[in-house]
Parts: sequence; structure tokens; C-alpha cells
Amino acid sequence: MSEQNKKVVIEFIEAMSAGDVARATPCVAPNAKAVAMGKSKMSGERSRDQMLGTLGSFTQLMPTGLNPKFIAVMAEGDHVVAEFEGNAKLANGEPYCNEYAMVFTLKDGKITLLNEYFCTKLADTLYPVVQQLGLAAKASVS
Amino acid sequence: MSEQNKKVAIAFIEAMGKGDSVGIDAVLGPNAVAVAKGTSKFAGTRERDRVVGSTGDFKTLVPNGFNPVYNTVTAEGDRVVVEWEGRATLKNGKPYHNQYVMVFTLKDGKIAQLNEYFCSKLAEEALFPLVASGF
Repeated sequence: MSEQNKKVVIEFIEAMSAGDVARATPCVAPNAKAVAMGKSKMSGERSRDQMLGTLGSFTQLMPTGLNPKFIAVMAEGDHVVAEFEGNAKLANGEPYCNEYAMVFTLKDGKITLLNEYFCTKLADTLYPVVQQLGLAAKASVS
Repeated sequence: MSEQNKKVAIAFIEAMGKGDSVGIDAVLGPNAVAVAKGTSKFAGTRERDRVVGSTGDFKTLVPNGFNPVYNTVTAEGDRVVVEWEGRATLKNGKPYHNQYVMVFTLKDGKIAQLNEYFCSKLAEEALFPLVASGF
């Protein structure tokens, strides 16, 4: 089960990187939510619809994708943790290389909860770009 | 092995929370490193000696400890991931409730590497001025 859960998580992260809602949707359970941890302007809880909606607008923010480089993926029971680095370029041409630890909870092979940890200081530098593009304040990945 | 590794990872966090350098020393491997992720003033790699040495500082910075509240613990192979929140009060009386993911890599039952993810913004705003002032 853990190996299958890992596949779902990696599929979700890659779909997110590509801004591919159709690919991300089957990974996410009906009542899923995502929580961006910490005190950044991107922090807070997002419903399933917000998760997928912001994921869709993600390529506006990072046109060439997040390009995740996985450091480690660990799974036990219902949990999968993915530790990865992003190698993105923002719409304004600036590099954006945040570091992430994402803790997923799955049920019946779908993501029910995602707790996102990342450098909130760096994430706040995204905020003006997010506003400029008219995207939701709580980006799918910050 | 994973269950024993979990105990070691939790022992590290408990010792850190109490500023217990002896407890930290006991769970670190000979060439252990800790890496604070992100771009804050705390970010970077700390060698074993510095990890042990700086633990005692927490007693002054956070006199009543971090009081960790554990969320998830996920272990696989040589790795243990602990997701937790601190319930600390800083020396200056301000609350300091950061949220952490710590990814431990163990070797022979000791910590070889620790990658730390936390709210860098909060760490820099609340904790760094105290550290910089020499507390």
C-alpha cells in the first residue's frame, strides 16, 4: 500500500509542477484539503477546489514548471512524506528554488490531507508576482 | 529497525526541546550534520560539534523548553520524518510556536543527518533578534 501511495503522491507533485488539473484530480479525495504551514502570506488552509484551482493557474506563475528534484520519499501506513527542491523560473524571469517537505495523508489510495512546509521567507517574495498575475493569494505551491 | 530509529529521532527532539546537550550527544553519529533548509539567517549546515554546542543555548533562549506536540511520524528504511509543533515561550516572554518537519537519516542507530524545515519567516522575526543580541 505504501508503494502505491508513493506513486499517487509523486503523480500529484508532477501534475502540480505541470499545472495539469486533469492529472492531479484523480489523486485527490473528495474532501481533501491542503495546509500551507507557517506564517507566510501564502499560509493557510485550502479546500479541494482551491487546491485544484490554484494548481491550474500554477503555470502562469511558473511557466516552465516547478521541476521537482526529489531528495527522499518515505511512506508508512497512511502517510507519505516527499522531500524535494523546486527549480522554477517565475513569470517575471526570476529563479524560484524553494525547498519542500510535504506530508501527505491518504485514504483508499487518494490524498485526503497535504501539509506543506517550505521556506516562508522565500515564499513571500512570490506574493507580488501572484498579485500582479491576479492569481489567488494562496498559491498551490509557494 | 524503524521503530528503534523513531525512538532515536524523538529522543533528539526531546533533548533539543530541553536544551539537553548530553542527550543530543548520545543520539548523534560521529560525523552527523544538521541542515536548516530555506533562506533564513538560520539556514545552512551545522557540524556535529555545533549541533551539540548550540543545544545548551536553548535553555537560555527558551527557558521552559519547546514542549513539542507531535503530529505525524513516518519511518522507512534509514529515514524517520517527524512533523511537530513547538509550544515555546522565548526568554523575552513572547510565544514561539513554530511548525517543523525534521527528516532524520540514521546509520547504525544514530543520527547521521537531519534536514530541518520550519517557518523561516517566524524564526527570523521572533528568534533571530534574540540570538543576534547574544541573549
